[in-house]
Amino acid sequence: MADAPDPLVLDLVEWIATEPRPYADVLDRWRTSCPRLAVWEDAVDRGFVKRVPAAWQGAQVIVTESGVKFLRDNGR
Amino acid sequence: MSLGLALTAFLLATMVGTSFLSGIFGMAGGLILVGVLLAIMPLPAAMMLHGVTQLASNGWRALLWWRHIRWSSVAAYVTGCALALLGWSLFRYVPEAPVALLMLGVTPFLARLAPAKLRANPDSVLQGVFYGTICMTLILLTGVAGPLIDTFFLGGTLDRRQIVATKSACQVVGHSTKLIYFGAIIDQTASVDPVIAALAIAASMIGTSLAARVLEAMSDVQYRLWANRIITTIAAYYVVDGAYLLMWPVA
Repeated sequence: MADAPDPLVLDLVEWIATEPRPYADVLDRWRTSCPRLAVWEDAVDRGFVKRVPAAWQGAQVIVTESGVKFLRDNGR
Repeated sequence: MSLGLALTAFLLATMVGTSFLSGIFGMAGGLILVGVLLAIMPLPAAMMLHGVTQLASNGWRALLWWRHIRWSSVAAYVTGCALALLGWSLFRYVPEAPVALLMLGVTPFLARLAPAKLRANPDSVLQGVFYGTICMTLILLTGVAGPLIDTFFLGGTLDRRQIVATKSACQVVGHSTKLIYFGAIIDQTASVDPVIAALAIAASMIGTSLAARVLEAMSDVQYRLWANRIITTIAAYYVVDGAYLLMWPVA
């Protein structure tokens, strides 16, 4: 499993920042198996996104304050 | 080479299991599959069968993501593969199983050995040729080179679709070359029964589909923890096993 480079983490955080996404949707769109890019795991570990319970759709993923700062610092 | 019914069933069950693991952890399954194949058949035959399944899965991925392939990187990588094939064809070298196991075990750690400051660039022609030569050599000696190829593509500015697509296209070239080498160039050439090859591809697809369901149920913390543990354990086992067999060969 490979650590994700910053541009990929930026892409993911930016994609979630446009609107909260269902957790299953995030994994479905961002999971790769060969290479196994740990973009989602890196974004979570670095505190840029987090999973929150959602009433009707299971879990949702939102951007944290440090995620917003990460985007701003990188000109997004 | 023809396999018995029981051995074929065992092999297909292994392929479902290993592609299931690969679907979750990226590479653990591939490592196990090569080890199992090396244990039950001669190295050239093992490389051929493994090459067919890899060619199918990577070919399908490359086809799906065709538009995202970075062709300049593929061209440089192919040049490196051709150089490696040319070099190894002069010797027609076929490693002994213990040597292949030892190198297989070292492969996942190769990527971690590279200095962090030394950032690979998939847009560099020179680096593409270099990685192509090294990875092709690794594919011919052990059957796999995935972790090292990853370091090449992760160093640049490719987005995730370009990484997956370009890596798949390079893997198609690498495993095709492996089939040519073990099927036509070396002295003890091997072949694959088309029925076994078709069943192996089907088994790999079933395993990958099953993995998608489990991955969703797995927490992210569990995933990262187990991915590292499993790959390190398998690799360490191969290093110990290969070293042991080298020092005390089985008569």
